[in-house]
Amino acid sequence: MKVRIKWLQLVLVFSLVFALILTGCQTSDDTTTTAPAGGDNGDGNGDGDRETIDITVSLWDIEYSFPGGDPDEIAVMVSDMFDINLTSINVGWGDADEKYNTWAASGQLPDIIGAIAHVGQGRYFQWINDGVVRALPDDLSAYPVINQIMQQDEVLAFQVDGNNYFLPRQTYEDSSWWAMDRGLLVRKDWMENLGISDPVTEQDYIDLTVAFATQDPNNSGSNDTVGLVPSGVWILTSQGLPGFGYTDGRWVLEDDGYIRPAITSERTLRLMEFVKEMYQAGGLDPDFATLDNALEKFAAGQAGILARQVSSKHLKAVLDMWVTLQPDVDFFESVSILRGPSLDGEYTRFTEMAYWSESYFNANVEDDKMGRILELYDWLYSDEGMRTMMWGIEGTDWEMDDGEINLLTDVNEETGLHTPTAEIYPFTYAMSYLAAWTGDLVQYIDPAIPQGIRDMASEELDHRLANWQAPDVDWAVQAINVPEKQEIAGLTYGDDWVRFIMDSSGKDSQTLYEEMVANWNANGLQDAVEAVTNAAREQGLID
Amino acid sequence: MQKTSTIAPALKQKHSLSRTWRKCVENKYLLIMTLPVLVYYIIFNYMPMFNVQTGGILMAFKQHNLTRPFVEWDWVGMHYFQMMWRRPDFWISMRNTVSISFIRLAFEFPMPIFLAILLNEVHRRKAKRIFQTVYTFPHFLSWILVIGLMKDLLQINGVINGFMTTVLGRQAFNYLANDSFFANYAMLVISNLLKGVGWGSIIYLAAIAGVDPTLYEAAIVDGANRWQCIRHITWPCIKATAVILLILQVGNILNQGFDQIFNLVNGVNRNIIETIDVYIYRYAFQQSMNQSFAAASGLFKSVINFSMLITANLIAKKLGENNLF
Repeated sequence: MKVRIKWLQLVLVFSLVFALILTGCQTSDDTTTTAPAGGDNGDGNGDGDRETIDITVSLWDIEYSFPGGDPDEIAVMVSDMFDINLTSINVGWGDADEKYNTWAASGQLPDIIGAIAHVGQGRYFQWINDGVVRALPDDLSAYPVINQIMQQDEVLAFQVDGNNYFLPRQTYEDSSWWAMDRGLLVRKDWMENLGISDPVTEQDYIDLTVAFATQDPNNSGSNDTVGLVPSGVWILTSQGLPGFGYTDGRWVLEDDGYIRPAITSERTLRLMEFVKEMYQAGGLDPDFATLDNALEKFAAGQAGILARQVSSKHLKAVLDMWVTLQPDVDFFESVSILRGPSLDGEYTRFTEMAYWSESYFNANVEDDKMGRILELYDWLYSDEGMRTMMWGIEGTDWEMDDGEINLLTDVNEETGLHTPTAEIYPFTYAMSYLAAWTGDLVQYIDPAIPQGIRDMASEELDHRLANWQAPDVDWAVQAINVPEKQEIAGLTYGDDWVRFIMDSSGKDSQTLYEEMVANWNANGLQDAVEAVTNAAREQGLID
Repeated sequence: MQKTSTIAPALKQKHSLSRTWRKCVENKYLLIMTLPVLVYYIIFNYMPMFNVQTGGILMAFKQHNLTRPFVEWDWVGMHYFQMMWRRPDFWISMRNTVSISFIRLAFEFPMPIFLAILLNEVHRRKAKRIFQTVYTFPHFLSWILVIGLMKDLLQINGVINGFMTTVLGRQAFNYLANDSFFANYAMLVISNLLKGVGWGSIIYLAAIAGVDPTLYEAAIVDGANRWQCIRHITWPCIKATAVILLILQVGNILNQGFDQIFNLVNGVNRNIIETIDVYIYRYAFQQSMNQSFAAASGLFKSVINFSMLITANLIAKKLGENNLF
């Protein structure tokens, strides 16, 4: 009897262990299908005779577009229009790369691989060379909007053997709009409290930030404020302070005839000397190197200057948090945009490609399915698609009124804001950024963003476009693929600059910079610089 | 004469085999209990090493390809090892890994032993259980949560600096972003101890539980005090376990807690606490994807770890202590 019980226990333990192992080994089933199968209902543009095709689509947080239960009206409409049945495969912002790496290695990638921003990087070329992703058709004339988008310089630059391998996730109509994705927000009411006028010189800025940190600008009677708080260390070099020339991470032609990452240049050294001085004076938030709540700090009234994106959409994010954390303080009376000090009166805009991140397509996607996917994207890129994703169904949720969007959705009495579209149609939550960052594209006309915010951002955008220099960033240079360049992808220039700012060895700036350059070169930077420069010369990109 | 000399070893071998078999039969339940662990190691450690499809460890010597079968991959020899060795960053991370490892051996390794002995000296059962639960609980928190708490406590405007500046009148110190070896290593050791010391002490508590209580009774009758009981009974009884764990720890010299360090590393302390695992992640996965490079780094690490394990085992053997094999 005793032996039997022991055996029974053993069998139970083993069953449990193997069940756990099998559970661990089973294929991930993080999928939801909500769009109904079935042909055209006669209302859409779809061809009712076509067979419905199943498409798996993967994107950051796409699970929110497919919450389960009955699909919403827009989900049904899209499904009927293109005769497709979309199945979501969710990835998060933190695990997308790891998931894709694993799925690529095990041949389990979904049809649409959406949560990825690796154009020009090692993985981009590896996926193409290894046949993980398929090329787009040569003839895209059946998809007029896509056809137009694929003519952008920053898309053409990344063709491989004359083929396009991705659809860009369009952020702006052109790259100049990125000018507002870096900037400084300042507490102008605190400046008034302290009797400080608009800063101009580097010393003015240092004095201002130190005053914010030490002179009780909020009249609280306690030492509870900091000067400048950056939303990330990266923003300090990435044109957050644009008066020092181009100091961002893109490869640019320098005066010595070599192409190198601008972040390693002497211009960046000059910028960092200023930041270091501010840090040593106590004007820069002493926790800046490890901080991850800069926005909260500013919105809660604990920081005098916030270095962050200042476009319409991003200002609204600040406002949204502000009204929660400081409901008694008027945002518009308290905040304005600063431009930072300038060495010679000139400012250089932040720039990026007109798109950020891309959609790739599994090599196993056949031509029929690819056709449907392209139809879907062509519509999502179009004005009609974008308006539907942003504001819902025309006539029901919005109407055009004298060339402007007029929302018809309910208004929340407490906040004065319209019901978000994704609340009415969950499908639009992530689908609104599958083909394009629709929220960014329409942010200067989006009625869901308060007029005061839009005016503030539009005015500054106009100023920057008219007066600030565009950096000389050549996308064809960025697309150069040489092994030496891929091998230094892990270098952490930003980290090294943080160490420069916080250095306590007493060495002078030039010595520290030379040590940093020597270390970068020892880790392969100079080899990469020479390889990229030679390749650019061979391709006729430079003389 | 010659006949007896050949038969004797054969008989001896047969006798030894039957003794081993008898032992196996006697301990069959214990052996069966080890099977799941064996299965785990076979599935997750040995099978990937000898996987025919991916090439296993041979991947380190070939150019990885995502779609073609392993046999069609190009041989690249020692390319990925050289790529790793020629970077100063790699040697910095090696130095950090070894330093952290020795510091952990010196300061972290003995602490679970002390805790187990201390807990053993608590005679009130309820109090003992409470202490044990309190010390063990942090093990179940993820590093991301622990480091989030650490950030709140240790940042310049955090609780600890607030206490130091307002109550003690000391200057604030940036515990999370500084270039001091002492401060960084102390942070690693203390946080790891707070999280893991209770869990680590369980194995020693189990060893102590196996000590014959009559030994203590006899010692007390002979007039031994608590300290003498610990020194002459408890410690000798758990020493064997400690030596085995020490050997295993030495064999893990290049595995120094990826989660903890990955979440604590930043621009200022990277050159001090970035370990080989974080370095591999940075170059092989974070910026680009290079499985062959990762395989080469992993193989290099395993060879060093294995050599260290063998060396530690040999030293233990020479000193007459317990050893693994």
